[in-house]
Amino acid sequence: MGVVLRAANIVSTVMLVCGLLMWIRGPNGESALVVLNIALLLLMAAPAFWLMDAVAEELRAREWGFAALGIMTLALLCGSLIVALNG
Amino acid sequence: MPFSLGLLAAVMAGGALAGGLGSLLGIGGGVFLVPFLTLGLGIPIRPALATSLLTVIATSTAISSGPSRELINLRLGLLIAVATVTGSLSGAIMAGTLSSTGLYGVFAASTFAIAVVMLTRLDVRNVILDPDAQPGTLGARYHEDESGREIVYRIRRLPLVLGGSFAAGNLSTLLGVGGGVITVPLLNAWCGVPIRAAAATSAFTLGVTATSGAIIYYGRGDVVPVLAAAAVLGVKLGSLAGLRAGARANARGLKLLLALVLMVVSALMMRRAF
Repeated sequence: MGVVLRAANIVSTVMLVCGLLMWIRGPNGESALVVLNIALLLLMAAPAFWLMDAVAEELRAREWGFAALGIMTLALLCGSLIVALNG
Repeated sequence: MPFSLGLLAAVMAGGALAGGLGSLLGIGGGVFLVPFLTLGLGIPIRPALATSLLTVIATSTAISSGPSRELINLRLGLLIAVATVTGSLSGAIMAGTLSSTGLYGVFAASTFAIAVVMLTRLDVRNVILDPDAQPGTLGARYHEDESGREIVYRIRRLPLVLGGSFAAGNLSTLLGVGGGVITVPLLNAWCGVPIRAAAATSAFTLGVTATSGAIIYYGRGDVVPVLAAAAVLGVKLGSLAGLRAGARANARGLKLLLALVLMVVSALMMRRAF
């Protein structure tokens, strides 16, 4: 869990710093906004990644009930995505 | 939305303060950031809520990948996450129908009541003194640096954990706060989880809960990338300081600070209600 989170944390932070610096150098720059949006999407994806990791850990331990809870939460996050896509 | 460098610096500084307190107490920090952005800087409520949820994810990620991760009770976190994300999803659906004034009033009253309970339980430690005792399916054990002991705890009042977590997730999306302001005191004061484990486990689930709300705000176009970036970077800096301070703070001090924060939050929310 730590590796995935640390990687997402570092990459999104670097991209946020770069995007913000690009925006400060040239406000309203399209490329700065693209970098910032990707960084924010990566940030939002991190908890889903570590949830998947937690599910894998419970499956390895044959703890089916807890694995099911994790899968249920992932399904609910997909529900949020559907609500978002439908406005 | 036009931004000056001064405004971005203010957002970053506010984020750092919110992140510091949020990671210290495991409550996310959104509870400080939303009033600061809206009342302090005049930023419209929806971009402020979206920004706040993104900073909650940043705090949660920082805590869950830092030294506190050993305190996370993963199984309890998975159980709580189902309730908080369900609450968050229902909060997103309810967002357009509820009176915000009434909601702020309920939130203010709840946080005040929780603060009072925390203050009455400052010296209560939710630990089992026998290190060989079994923690049960949802309980856990960990080594506490403060006392140098093996800490064992069991979960009590599971229906209360689930109901409170659902409410926390619901308010998280409606008010743009992490929800930890409810789950940490709930887990600690009523459900038998020591304060550090409650804060770490709550932080783990808050990231998932905030993601559910943030996705919806992002999809609706309420995320302002420049504003969010400044706040998230500020929060990340503040979180590092908060985590270092948290490692040295004692459990009683953390509870006292949390109770005081809840009192302040209650007063802020009451002000918005009337």
